[in-house]
Amino acid sequence: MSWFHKGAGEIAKERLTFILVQDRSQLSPAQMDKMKEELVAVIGRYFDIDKAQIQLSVERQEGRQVVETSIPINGVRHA
Amino acid sequence: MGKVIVVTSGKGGVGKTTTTANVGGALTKLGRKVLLVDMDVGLRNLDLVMGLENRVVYTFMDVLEGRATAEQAMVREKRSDGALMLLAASQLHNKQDLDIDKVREAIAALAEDFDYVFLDSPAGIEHGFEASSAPAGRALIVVTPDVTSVRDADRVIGLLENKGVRDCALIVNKYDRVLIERKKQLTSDDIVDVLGAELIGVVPDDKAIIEATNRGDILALSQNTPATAAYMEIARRLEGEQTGFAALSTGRSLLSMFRRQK
Repeated sequence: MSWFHKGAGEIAKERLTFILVQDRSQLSPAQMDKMKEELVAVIGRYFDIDKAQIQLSVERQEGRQVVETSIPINGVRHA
Repeated sequence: MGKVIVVTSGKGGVGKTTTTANVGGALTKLGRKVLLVDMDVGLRNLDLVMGLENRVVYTFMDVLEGRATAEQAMVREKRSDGALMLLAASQLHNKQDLDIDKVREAIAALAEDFDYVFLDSPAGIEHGFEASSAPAGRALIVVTPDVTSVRDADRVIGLLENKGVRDCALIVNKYDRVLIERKKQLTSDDIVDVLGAELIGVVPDDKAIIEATNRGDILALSQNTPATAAYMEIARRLEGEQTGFAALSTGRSLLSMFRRQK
């Protein structure tokens, strides 16, 4: 996944996608990490989640900002 | 009642003023009556792009502050037979001197006499941008395919949405097919995807634009080049027609075919 193998256009899109989450949410990377940790703590009580694969984005949809998060699960937790 | 449209971008140098002049010119070719208002107080340029710099007597600030009537201040563009008019910005004032309520009132009154009123916003997100977007019902966001311009455009779209201007359409400017084909540049699809706004035009990087600006000609009114075709597409889309984007049509550009043989 080295940047050397990607076109500059693709790298530009990835960098923009990343920075716009911060711009739109007005959250610092540290606050963003903290939010992820808290999400993991809550959702992790019910599901066995794949922490490394969590994705968070702030999208514009029909004139509104929408927070979207994708949290892959390995399985449910049995009580 | 005319349609009041702000042309803005956040970042400077992306082509707001040139785009304003040419989209306005293109609309007059479709039979529309268009007023262009330079909102860049202190750094006026729209008069220069339109070749009208020697005919400006009064400015929009003079109208706002009661020193001239709109009729006295408006300058007619020659080629369009009076269908395209300019209200120039004052060079003697600061952007802070714009009273937003007065601007809103004056633009609403002017819009009665035109099919379209375009407000050419200054760069930035401060008072000049606020005054330009306050009267507008929709926005044209000019963006070039680079990370800084796209990031600034995102910020501007967010601010416009907060003000209730939900209708933000993107004009991707200075589009370079050769760089795109080599995957070195953001594509218009990438930009639309990242910004989540509607695309209304793709203007190719066309040397004829610089030449026309140097002469003080509006390209869309004086020559037929690839950029002219793009401005006409934007005009048609503003009129509600569904057109394609010639700048995105498939097939390699002539230039890239030459370069591939190196």
